[in-house]
Amino acid sequence: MIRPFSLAAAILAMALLASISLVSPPLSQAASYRYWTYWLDRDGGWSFSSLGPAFRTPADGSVEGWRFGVTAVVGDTPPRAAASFAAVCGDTPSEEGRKRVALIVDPGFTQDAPAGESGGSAWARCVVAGIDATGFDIVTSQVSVRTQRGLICSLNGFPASECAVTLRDPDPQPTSTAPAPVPQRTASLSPVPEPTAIAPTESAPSVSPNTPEVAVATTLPKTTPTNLTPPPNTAESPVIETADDTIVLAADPSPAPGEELPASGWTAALVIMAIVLLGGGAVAMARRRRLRRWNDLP
Amino acid sequence: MTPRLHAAAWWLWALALAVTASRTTNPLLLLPITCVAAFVVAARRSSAPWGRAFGYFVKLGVVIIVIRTLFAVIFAGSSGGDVLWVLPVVPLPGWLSGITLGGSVSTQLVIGAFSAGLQLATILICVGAANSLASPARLLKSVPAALYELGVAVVVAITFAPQLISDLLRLRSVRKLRGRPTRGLHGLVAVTLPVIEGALSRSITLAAAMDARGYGRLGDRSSQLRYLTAGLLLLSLSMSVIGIYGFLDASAPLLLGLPLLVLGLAAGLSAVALGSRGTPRTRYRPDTWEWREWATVLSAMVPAVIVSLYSAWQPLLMSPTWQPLSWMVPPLLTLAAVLVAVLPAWVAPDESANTAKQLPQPALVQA
Repeated sequence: MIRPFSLAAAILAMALLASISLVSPPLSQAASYRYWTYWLDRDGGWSFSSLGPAFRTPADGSVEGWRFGVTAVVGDTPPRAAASFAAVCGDTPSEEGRKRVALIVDPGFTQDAPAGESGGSAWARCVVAGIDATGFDIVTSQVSVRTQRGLICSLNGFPASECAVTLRDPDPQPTSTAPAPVPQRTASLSPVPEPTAIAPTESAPSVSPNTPEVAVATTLPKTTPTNLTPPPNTAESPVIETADDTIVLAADPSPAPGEELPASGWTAALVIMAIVLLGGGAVAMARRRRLRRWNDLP
Repeated sequence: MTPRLHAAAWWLWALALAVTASRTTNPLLLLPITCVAAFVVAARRSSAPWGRAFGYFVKLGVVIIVIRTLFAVIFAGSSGGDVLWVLPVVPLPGWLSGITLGGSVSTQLVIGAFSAGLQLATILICVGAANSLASPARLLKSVPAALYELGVAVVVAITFAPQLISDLLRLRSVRKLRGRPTRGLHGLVAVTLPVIEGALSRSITLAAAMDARGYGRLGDRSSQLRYLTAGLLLLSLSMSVIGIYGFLDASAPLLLGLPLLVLGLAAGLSAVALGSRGTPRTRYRPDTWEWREWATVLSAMVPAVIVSLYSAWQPLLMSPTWQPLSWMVPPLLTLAAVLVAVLPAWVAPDESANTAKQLPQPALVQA
């Protein structure tokens, strides 16, 4: 004879267990994340930025890297090109009151991309921006950036619709460029990599004492280049060697996959008509009701 | 006796509309949802005091939008996009890292904050529509017997907002009769405390009255059965909360949401079944659930399902990033689906004409 109370306790315990086992997989299992990561140069190598791009103001002469890939451990997928300022911005003269930042964007391996999509080839550009431009300003000045809830979802329309997805099946193997120019890992990395946060109001990344400072670029190293030929954003295609891979950096991003939005003039008119009709109807009815109430008063 | 729509049908209709609003941040879809709610409320709200709740919820929604936009502008940081103006950045101490006071304010930032505020306001307005359409007393009658044990809490939870509105109306008319200001900050401050206090005490009085009529009665159930019911109920509630979080938050894994929601629902239903077994009760003039109720609920389910599907399929249209800045017109199908939810304005019976005379006039004795 099972007493109902112990039965209840047993059911409660089992359900609790079940719910815990249901909740825990994303935390305990080795999950990979597929998203754009944000990288900074550190002594010629890449280092994973623990700050979001909106929190960093790069100085003149710095290199900023973006890499799309499957990340299992924080900092295992740096951009596949060398973090070389000279290769990208060598020909760009410095301007008074502006700064030059080498922007390297690497959409990663094709097998890491979402099914049916391709991010194109990696590209680099020398961006000349205002002194107080943040990393986010620099990347948005070059390509379209889709953000959602403070996360960077896509650069240049790639990936088309997903946003920092968690992969639990080992289907796309985490392709780490392990022995590549070892990224000096910043101290105290969280075990679960957090997608690069951008919006200051929505998330607050922790700053440990030895993470790169949010450099306020007031004192700029005025590096005067020797030859003063091409204006910024002219095509330059330096071939950059890395430890495991040689990729050609294009000067321009490959054309973004066109987001086909249906022709919407009629729908817009219908939306406005619906708002006017329903809203106006509601107001009119409320007014009539108010008048009726006054008339009903003795 | 005029026919009236089941109170639960109104709540389900409003909650489905709220789910629709939670799935999109496109103002061109959120505004029609608000208008649909307003139209149905204007057409079918009851003349009882709580029927005027809607206007107050709309005002609260406007406040939310203003605050949300203002905060986004103040804590702008570096938002990227088409910069409208630049506020000076105020340096903050290190432990506030991640918050930036001032910064460049872009069009995208303002539109994004407005849309997020509008989404929250729309959800709130949907709840306001339910509050002004459904009679709290009728809803209370339909509460399953398993919840009778939580009598006081349930009664207070369901009747607090409607009581708040009717108390507010009463106090304002009292102040008006005495020649005191009812508008502006002064009027608001003078009315706030008595309104909140009065609404709570009236809800508790109602709960006590229902307790005296056997609502909180334990009945002749064994204590084991009561423990079982209470445990299942608690379990169901906690699982439902986690499940709803997993279901509504797009970044949470789907594995978290759906199974827990289903399990929680199953636990809740079995708790209700177990709890109702020991307490046979009869209901006086029970509300019926007929085709009108079905039509009302289904009319709001249509946009909830279609907008949810579209937000998974075309996230850019349903939650636009405004970069590059352009008119993000929602698909025609989603607009049509939202317009379906206006059906109750004709389907539901109009109870405003008859109930007005039956209600007692609000007593002008307090305050």
